[in-house]
Amino acid sequence: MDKTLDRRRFVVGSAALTAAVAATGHLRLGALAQDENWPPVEGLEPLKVGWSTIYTTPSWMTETQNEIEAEVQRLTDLGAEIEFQVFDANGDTATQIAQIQTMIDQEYDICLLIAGSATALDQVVESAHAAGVIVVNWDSEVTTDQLTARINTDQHQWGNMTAQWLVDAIGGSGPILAINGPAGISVSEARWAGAKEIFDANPDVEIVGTANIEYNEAPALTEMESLLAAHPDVVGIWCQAGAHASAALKTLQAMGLPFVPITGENFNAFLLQWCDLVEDGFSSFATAQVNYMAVIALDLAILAKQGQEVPSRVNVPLPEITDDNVCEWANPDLPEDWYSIPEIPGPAERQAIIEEALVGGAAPEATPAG
Amino acid sequence: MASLPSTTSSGATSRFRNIRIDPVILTFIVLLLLWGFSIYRNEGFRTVNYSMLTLRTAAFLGIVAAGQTLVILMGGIDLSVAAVITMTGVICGNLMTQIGQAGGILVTLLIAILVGVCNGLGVTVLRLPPLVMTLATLSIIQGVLLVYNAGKPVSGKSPFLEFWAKEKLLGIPTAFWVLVAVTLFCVVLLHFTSFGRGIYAIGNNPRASFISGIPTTAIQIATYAMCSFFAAITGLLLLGRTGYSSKTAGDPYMLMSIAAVVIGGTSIIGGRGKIVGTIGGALVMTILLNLLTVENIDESVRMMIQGGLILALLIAYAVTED
Repeated sequence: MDKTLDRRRFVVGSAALTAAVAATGHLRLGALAQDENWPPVEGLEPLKVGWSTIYTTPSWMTETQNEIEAEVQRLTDLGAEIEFQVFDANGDTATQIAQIQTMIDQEYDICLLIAGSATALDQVVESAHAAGVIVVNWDSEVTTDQLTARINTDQHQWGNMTAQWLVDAIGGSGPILAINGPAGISVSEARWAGAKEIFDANPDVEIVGTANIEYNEAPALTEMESLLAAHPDVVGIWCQAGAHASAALKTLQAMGLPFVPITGENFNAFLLQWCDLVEDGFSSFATAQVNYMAVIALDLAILAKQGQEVPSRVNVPLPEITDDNVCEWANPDLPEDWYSIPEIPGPAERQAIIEEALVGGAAPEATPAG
Repeated sequence: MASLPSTTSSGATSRFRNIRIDPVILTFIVLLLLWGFSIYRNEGFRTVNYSMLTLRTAAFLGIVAAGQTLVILMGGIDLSVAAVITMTGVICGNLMTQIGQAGGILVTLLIAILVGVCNGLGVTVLRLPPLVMTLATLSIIQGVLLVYNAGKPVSGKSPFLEFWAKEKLLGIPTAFWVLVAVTLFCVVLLHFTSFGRGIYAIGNNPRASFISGIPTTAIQIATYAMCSFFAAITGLLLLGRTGYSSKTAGDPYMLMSIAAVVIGGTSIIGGRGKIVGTIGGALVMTILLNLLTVENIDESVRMMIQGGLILALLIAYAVTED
């Protein structure tokens, strides 16, 4: 990929953003110098930082943890004293509630949060907020507003944009399959709600089969075999996750069926297959839940701890992975059960993202890592 | 005074209790009904190719469930099979890139056996309840996998594993042949060796078995080792099937393996059951899940049907117990 171009685009964007911010009088965080030592850690008391997550096992979570730990190390190198602890609820919401309560009892300064339930954690999160713990929530959100900030992509938009691509790719009509994540998971439900909106607006698109499958390729292969055996004439497959898309593509080939458009995600196993098959006529469209929201969350929490004004929400745009750029995203050097990591914005770029959010703007779109 | 026993519920139950049906036969009757219904409902399910795919999927479950059967027959339970399956894929995928296919597979199987031995030692020497011991093992393995190779599941390709996971031999999926071999081994072990009789005896009464001279400790340790070994075979086949190792590959198999054993008519408290029933149970689970997938019904209803079938079969086994 032409990374120079991407970098230049960002710098130009940042300069324009700086001008816009300064012009509107929202220059809250001091000079917008491209400061690689951002966020400022001078004068910070020793910090206790906890990451409460519903689980750590999936690769996406491991990548997220790696990015948080790297940022903790960078901040430590800058002079901060941070005691970082991961609280893994192992899939159990009750455990996560107890762990957040432990953070309150042990006087943690910062609670970074990926919630296992949209509503069940509300009360303990409100307690943490009331106790002065800085709570920054991303990916799977809680419902309450009693917290410091939220950072996320728009999962509804995820469903919208992938479904719209599929509708266009199949010419607006024909039988399709729709494959979702586990029932009841907020991310899965939001993506499906977004997709269904588009499918409902296109009555000639007929959803002949749906399934709720965990984000795991082995069971997805089994269910895809059944669905494609029952509906071998589908003209497209809407998948909201990469493991599902990978299973769908493999099953089409194993059953000797022709390629049909499939939507997906930045799951490396899928991207590698897609990149290999573009020249054979396979077409797809995918997006990504960027891991670096975690890094922005930690930076934002440090700013809040410094007493600086921070945005209550940071919107991170969804990148578009297409037939044209898939081979830039697919990474043969990474494990297949891994998410092709978007380039992590540098400290100065993250500063710009947070400051843009203060004036209600969106962050720049993610690009594949080099 | 005339009594009316036939109109009371207890009377009806006792009438059912007079019908003696081997649970294995019930399992296969349910299997036939389900299979018939599924091919009646879906034209696509009537092909030989699809039936072969079903056999292959059932084989992955059947192999791990066979090991689970041995443990449950003995009055135990092994919750760590899911972690062993995952561990096998992750470790073997990595080792194959360093010491080759054969070395990677053999070392991985040895590690799996070691996990089973640890489970057995925990249950026998430390006298921990099997549920607690194997749950702890599951958690420890998950923790180790998080730090193993910095959490990155490296994948080595293996034509050998791909052959046994995805190809056919004499028109039958190779994975199913593996299940046949595992089944024959277990049948011989359970019904033609003193070791197998020991498993049943321990399941019926561990104290009496010990007093009567059965080497209960050795049998339990070896049985847990076999259970882990079979789970590892499923893990290797899943690695061959997907072509890469995944840190969540084994997750669905913890409860599914127990469900297949129970549907197959093995008593969850041990001492009674047959390995053939478990194979039927694995096929029932596979066909049921396939059917529920294509029926396009809500996920919540699917879960209720799945649970309802297990409950109905357990009740049927209870009232027609031999």
